[in-house]
Formats: sequence, C-alpha cells, structure tokens
Amino acid sequence: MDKVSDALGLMLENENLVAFIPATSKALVFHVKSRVNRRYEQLNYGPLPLTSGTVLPTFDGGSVSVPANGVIPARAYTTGLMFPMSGAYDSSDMWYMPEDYRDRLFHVIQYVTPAFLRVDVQIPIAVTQGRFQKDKIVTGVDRDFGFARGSYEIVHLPKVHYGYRYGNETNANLYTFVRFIYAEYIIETPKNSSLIFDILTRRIPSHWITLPINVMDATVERALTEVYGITGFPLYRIDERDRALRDYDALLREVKV
Amino acid sequence: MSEKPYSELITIRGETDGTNVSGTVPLDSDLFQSTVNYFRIPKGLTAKIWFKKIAGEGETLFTLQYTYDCTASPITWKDIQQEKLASKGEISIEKRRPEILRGFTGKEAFRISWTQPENSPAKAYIELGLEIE
Repeated sequence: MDKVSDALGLMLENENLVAFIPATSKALVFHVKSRVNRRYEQLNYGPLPLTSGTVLPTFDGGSVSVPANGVIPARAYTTGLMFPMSGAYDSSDMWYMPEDYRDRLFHVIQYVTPAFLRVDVQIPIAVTQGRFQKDKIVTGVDRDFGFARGSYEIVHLPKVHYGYRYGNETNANLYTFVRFIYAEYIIETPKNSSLIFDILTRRIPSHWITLPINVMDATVERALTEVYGITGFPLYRIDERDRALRDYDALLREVKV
Repeated sequence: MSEKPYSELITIRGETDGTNVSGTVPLDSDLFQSTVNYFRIPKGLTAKIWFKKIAGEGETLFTLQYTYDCTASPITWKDIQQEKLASKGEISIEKRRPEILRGFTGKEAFRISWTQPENSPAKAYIELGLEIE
C-alpha cells in the first residue's frame, strides 16, 4: 500500500495512476475521479476458463488434453486465455471495453489457485511480451523465466484483448480458481503539463503499473490512439522540464479523455 | 505492485491398499483431479511439510522419499524421513519447523512409501500438511 492506494492495492479517488509502457518509454497518466465499485472489489470468478478436451502444449514438448473443465493438466501451459462473462460488452472477454468507454479503466489484481502456477500476460492476445537481451530470447510461462506466480496486477486498456497464460510444472492435474480484486475507475487525463511532468518525475505521488509491453504491437498502438488520442507521454529527465512541457502541451491537445 | 508472495497450503492424503505389505502411496488432494504416485516440485520452489497424520489398522512404516530426477528411468529415491505406526491407532506430528524439500532443477519430487510386517497387510492412512512456496 502506498499513499495513493488502499489496502487492496487499488487507487484512492482523486489520485493519479501511471501505466508505463517499457517498449516506448511512454506512460499514460490517469487521474482517478471515481471508483464505481468501491466496497465491492472482489470477484470470485471461478475456475480458469479451460474446457475439457482442449489440447494444450506441455513443457516436455508434446501436447495434452484438458481432462475436465477448469483443470490444468500436469506439465502443461495454456495459450492466451480471456475470461468470458455473459452480458459483458464482449461476452468472451469480461475486461474488454470499446473506445467509447474511454473514461473507464479496469485495474485488476488477479489471484490464482494454486498459487504456484506460472502466470504471464500477452498484450494483445497471442503476442508474447517477455524478452531477454532485446529480442534474443522470448521468455514467459513456457520458458524458465519471465513469468509471475500466484498473482498479477495490471490495468486493462480499452480496445485491447489481453491473453493470460498459466503453466503447471507439477505432475498433477490441478483444479484451478481465480479471484479478481478489481476497480472500475472513471478516469481523465490531467490537463496540466506541469502536473504530468511532476507525476512522471515522481515529485507527486502516484501508483505506477508497468504494463508488460516489450514489443509495441500495431493493435495496441492503434487502440491507444483511438481510445486516448495519444500513445503516452514520453519520460523526460528532471532537467528537461521546458522541453517536456512543450511536448506534453502538444500531446494534451490530442488527448480524448 | 500489489502482487503478494505466492504460497499454497495443500493437504495431501494417501492410503495403503490393504493387500500388499509394501508399496507407494497414491497421493490425493482437493486440488488434484487424479491421484499421483509422486509430486514434482516446481523449479526454485520448496515443498514444506508442516504436519503428518497417520492412522491405520496395524503396524505400518511410512517413508518420505525424495528424488533429484523424476524423469530418470529408473528413478532413484532416497529416504528422507520415516514415521512408524507401531500398532492399530493414529499419530499426529506437528512441526514447528517444517521438513523442507527443494526444487533445484524442476525435476525433484517426493513420494511416500509404506512397509508392513510380512503377512500382515493392513489399511493405513497418511495425511501431509504441505506448503509450496
């Protein structure tokens, strides 16, 4: 918990959230106006959306069928999974929102059972983002490193489908469960370039979430432009204030929310 | 980031078959969709055994065995710890410090085997309080 988030790890109202994109060294800066699901942040989703009979790759080079709904087979890892929800804007992906939902942002902390499962996320789905030594090695749940275990914090950008991957290194077929602690924020971009500079130079407290984007896919770039009008604010050194403010003022003229 | 350290507590149980005087206990748990003869420890993680409960109809020696390579054929197991039920009854062993089994390469595993006196097969049960972290 920092000064701008609560015990759940979610943003307090009237604080600033930074979503940083390593691939471009740019950040989206959001002012949280409201958290519409305050006091109802827990969503017990249930088992992973794995359907019996689905064929998954294994760590040992073969493939294996999912033995029962929600069960991750021994030594297997999933391809990108989305979380279906009936009635959602896109019923195959509960976290997906179109561009006209640009004033909404999902901040999601996912807890998976068993907690020792490997977890990573593809942004967009099917684009693996883990990298080592530039593009020399692609990392992720199917490799020895480049994954988290047990929990994962992220913000879901509108108009992008994320793909979550899970890996089970043990020799047991495991029942699974996912709990989301999430917030649906009403956000806006701060319209003051000086404020943005102070946030991005960490003079003003904010909650930073680094999106695991090491390869800027055209889908994401297009989505950012269509949703927010910009692909983010570049980071500047603290001694580059004048240059930064000029750049930010120009970007703020393009911002859609 | 608000991601928390991962740790999973699992109760694993197994039982003898009641007809043979030695063998390997099939391991089961609420997390397991089907039983396994051994449990493979993910690379970099540890399996901590916090408690053992043993019950049975007769004398039974349970042995915790560990291997560095469960992909080898045959697998070489080494004995780590033994608990003996001297006669019909039950014992419960709680650990202030757990038995720790490490996953060095991702090929390590543990299993439970049993032996009983010759010509005296009996049903016996073992429960392990396991933490993976």
